[in-house]
Amino acid sequence: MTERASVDARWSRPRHWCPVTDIPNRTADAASTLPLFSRRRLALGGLGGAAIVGLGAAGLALQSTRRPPAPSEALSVLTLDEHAIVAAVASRTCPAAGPDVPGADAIDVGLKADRLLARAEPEAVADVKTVLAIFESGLTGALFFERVRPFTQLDPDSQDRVLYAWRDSSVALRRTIARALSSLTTSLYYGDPRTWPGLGYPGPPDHEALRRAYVDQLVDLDALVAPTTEAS
Amino acid sequence: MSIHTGAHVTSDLELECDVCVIGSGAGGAVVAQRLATAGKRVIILEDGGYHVSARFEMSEGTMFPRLYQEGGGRATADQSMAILQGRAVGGTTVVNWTTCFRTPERVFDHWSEHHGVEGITHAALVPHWEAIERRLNVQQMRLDQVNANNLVTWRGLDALGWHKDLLFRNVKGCAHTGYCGTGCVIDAKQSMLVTYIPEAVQAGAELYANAWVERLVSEGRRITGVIAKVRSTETDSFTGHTITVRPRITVLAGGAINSPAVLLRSEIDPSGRTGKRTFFHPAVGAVGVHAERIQPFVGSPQYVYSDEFVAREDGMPFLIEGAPMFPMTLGSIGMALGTERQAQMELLPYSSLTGVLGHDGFDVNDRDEGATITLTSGGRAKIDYKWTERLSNGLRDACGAALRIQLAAGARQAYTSNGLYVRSADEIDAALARGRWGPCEVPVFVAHCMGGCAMGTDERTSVVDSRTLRHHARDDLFVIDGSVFPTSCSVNPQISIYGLASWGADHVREALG
Repeated sequence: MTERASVDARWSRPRHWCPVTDIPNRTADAASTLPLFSRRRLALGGLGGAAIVGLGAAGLALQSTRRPPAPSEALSVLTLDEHAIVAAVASRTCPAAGPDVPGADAIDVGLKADRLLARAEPEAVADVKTVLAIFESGLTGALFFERVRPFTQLDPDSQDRVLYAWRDSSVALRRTIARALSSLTTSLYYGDPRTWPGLGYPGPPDHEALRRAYVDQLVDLDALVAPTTEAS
Repeated sequence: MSIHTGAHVTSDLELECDVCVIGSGAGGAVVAQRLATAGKRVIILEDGGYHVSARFEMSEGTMFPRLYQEGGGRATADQSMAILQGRAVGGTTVVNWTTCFRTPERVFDHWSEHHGVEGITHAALVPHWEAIERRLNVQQMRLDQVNANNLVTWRGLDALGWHKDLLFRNVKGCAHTGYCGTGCVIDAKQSMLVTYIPEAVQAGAELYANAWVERLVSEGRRITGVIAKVRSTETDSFTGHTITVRPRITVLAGGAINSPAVLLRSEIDPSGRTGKRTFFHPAVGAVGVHAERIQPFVGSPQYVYSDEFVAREDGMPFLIEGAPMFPMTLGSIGMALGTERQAQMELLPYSSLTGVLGHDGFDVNDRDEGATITLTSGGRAKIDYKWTERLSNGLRDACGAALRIQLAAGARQAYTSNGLYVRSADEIDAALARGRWGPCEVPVFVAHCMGGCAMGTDERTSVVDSRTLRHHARDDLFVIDGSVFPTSCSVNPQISIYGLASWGADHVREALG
């Protein structure tokens, strides 16, 4: 197959082809088919709907998070529930699709998030935990007439609809949270070398070989470091 | 005469010196080198670690947490702008893409006319720029060096009849691998890490890495101490040890965002302007998918640019540049999710990116344009960017220009980060019209941080005196970094900051006597 033909073949694969009309349609579908908790009924119900949400709030808030298999290593800063929320989001932002597309579950994006946050400032960690709690909560979903179950308990299609609804929301805070979760999970996923074969990305050159080839211009920066442990 | 890391500091330290320089990036390194080589006793405090090329690994996933602020995750509070800002000995110069521009004269004219800037001028910086550009081997790229990715932008600009030119870069012995953003493994990039910092240290400066400046201690109009908390080189958490420096002169050079945060933590903000008017060159662009392999991760990041829209008066001006794409950054920027994102990513080898930098800060009717830096309850910088109709429209126009370039260069399809897909130029206007251009509706990428300690001559409207770079409210405190720009500088800022720092170092020397 010629290179040009190869590209054409890529374009002809439905999974790769994103005609202009497909993208907004899918988004629109997400919005119109969203209500697990009927948007129209609650809108008509007005204050009655709000009261129902209020009465149910405590129960909704207490619904449990569905956990995936335990991470392969102990978590440092995230709880198992928080790990589960990151994993659930990542499994939809970065789903598996064949041998070259391992998907977020296979590389445990939740564990990667934990490792990244272990070096973050405590305030930043607290912010992430808050975002995860808000997004997961069935109560939050109910307030936006969207769902009553925690995100992790939804089936994959419903999770996709929730993610699109938050991404495309007219409420700035929901877009902010969707952006935070999307950036976190996709950066950790595509930063992993196991995802690169599916992208046609060969990875970086051999940096040791490069340094050997350019040895004459290297600056001995280690020579500047203080030699011994110092005392005041 | 050496570099100390957090691992070296095993007890509290009290140090005295002529000049304490806070930050070791484009501003701090130049000041430190100029003063140390003049025989002054200089101590440099740097929050980031001492990371050297022998341990760079050319992988975004590995290097971003080491070399960037907040592990590469710095962003505005509403997440609408992802901010890549360096955090290491050498600062952002370690990870920038080596693009070099002098501050345009029109920018100085604007600063003079609208922000009361006196003293510092384009002409005054020319001799400083000349010396620095010689030292850093700044040279213009040749067309035969341009990679396939940048050639797409070049071809598109040419087809449209728009201005185009080749960029200058500060490299020596460059292998054109394209991995500038993860630190140069062969020391070809003439960053502060391999030039002015070693020269400063060899001239007698002491540099403390992993030292986060918590606050400046004042008595009246004088700074009596600089208090830094020491971080662990392993975990980045605080070790419990502190470094207290008692300098004759303090030079704050933490860069935009961090310098105002130090002043705010130190409660030095008499005008109430500290942290205001912070600018980012908010960047968007368009990806074109081509029939031929582009491999936008091969070759230096940037070779070409266009001034076509830098002087527009009917909206936010912008600068067009070629820009690279790597999996992690590309994957995290767009709005696409799931299979749509993966589909974009799988076309990476056939994709090309035209980037566009918005010129923020030039709306003369908006005194509080841009971002405002405040402090969280824990003392961290909180970044709130004021999203305006001018910005939305500017980003829309910038995306339109980038789409036109990609299609004019032969892209089969082009798309923006907010999911507007077009296959011909005829479709662009309609696509832009249906696009949404508010915060978190069009992802914005930031690599240039400026402002927040604006210079000027009026103490009520500026933070720093533009005639000396001395803080208006302290006699022995200078602010010498990109935070003093009253607007964005409208070009990639490293050369602007080097020149300003060299000019500012003369005023520090004068103050030392």
